[in-house]
Amino acid sequence: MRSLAVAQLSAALLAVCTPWLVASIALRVATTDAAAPAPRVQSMKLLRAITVGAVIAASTATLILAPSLWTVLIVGLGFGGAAIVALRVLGEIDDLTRPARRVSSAERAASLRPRKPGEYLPWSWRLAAAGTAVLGATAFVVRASSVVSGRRMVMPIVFAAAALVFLWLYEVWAHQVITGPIVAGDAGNLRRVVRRIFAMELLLVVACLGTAHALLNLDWAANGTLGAAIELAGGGVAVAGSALAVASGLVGQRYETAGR
Amino acid sequence: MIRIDIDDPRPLEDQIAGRLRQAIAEGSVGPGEDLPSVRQLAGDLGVHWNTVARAYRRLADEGLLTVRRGRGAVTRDQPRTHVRMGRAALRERFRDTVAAGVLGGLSHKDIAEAFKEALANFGDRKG
Repeated sequence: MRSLAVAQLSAALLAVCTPWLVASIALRVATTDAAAPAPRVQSMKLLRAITVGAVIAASTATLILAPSLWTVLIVGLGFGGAAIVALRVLGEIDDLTRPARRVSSAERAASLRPRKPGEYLPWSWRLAAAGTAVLGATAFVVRASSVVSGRRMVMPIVFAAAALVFLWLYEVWAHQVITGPIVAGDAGNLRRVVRRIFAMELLLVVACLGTAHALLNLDWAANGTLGAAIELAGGGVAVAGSALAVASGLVGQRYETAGR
Repeated sequence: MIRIDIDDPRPLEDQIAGRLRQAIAEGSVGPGEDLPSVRQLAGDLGVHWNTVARAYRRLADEGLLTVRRGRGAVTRDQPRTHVRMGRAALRERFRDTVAAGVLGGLSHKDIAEAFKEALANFGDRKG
């Protein structure tokens, strides 16, 4: 098999498996956080079946029809179909694990001290992450402007953009965790949770920018297998990062909302 | 720390405003200090944000807080409510509270001790 075909196949498989991967990671995160056995998610079976079907269809299309618009259409349909079912799966996970996340105590307590991001994460760390992203993205733009003609640019640009999106997404997540609901007594865990989010943010920024730089100017015809491996590794980290962000609403205890 | 009880028949807004008033009077929230955002306090207590917003607005109307758009609520530098209370009104409130205590099965001694303890938490702010 030509190395370019390997690269195309790996990208297609990663695309159609992404919804299932995201749903599986979200289920694991929600179950671990709730400290409860994994709930029986009815739609998960359907998602697995659709993913298997999409893998077979995408592989066949990539090997027989690629490169063509048909391949893009079949992979797109596989991803879209799986994504629709994955959304249902996420909704079901939310419903099934909510009782474990809700505290129904009548007596409630809260601190009167405002929680500010700077207390949980030094500003210098956050600036370092943002600086790494900006410097990496700037270097990418400079390198991209002098790239050899005929090189594939879509994936490097996608990964460079993903680094900036992850930076923003995880900053918002950390901010929401800090200022969001906390059941009295859980405040001690907050610093650990916020720092874990920051570590993941930094890992995603570095991994996505690293992948973008590694794929930029890569000769796919000669180094397709290497390119596919880099793309899969970077893509895997990005999928895990997206899944954790998606699962962020499925963790953490809070009081049942009362009154209006 | 602020505590509320959702089984308490008093509206949640009254409980929150009352607890905040206590915290300011006792000095556990100092003059010019930031209070948590409406979203944070509502989330932590598990109540609707509008309930907390109304409690903040009420204390701002009483002259205890300043609520600034986008910057949250801050206690006044010299927090002193302009809602004056006469002795008669105070006596009436005491009677209500004592009645609730008596009906709740507390002895006169328990009620008197509770009043003394509550009073001991506040400095003399006369003048």
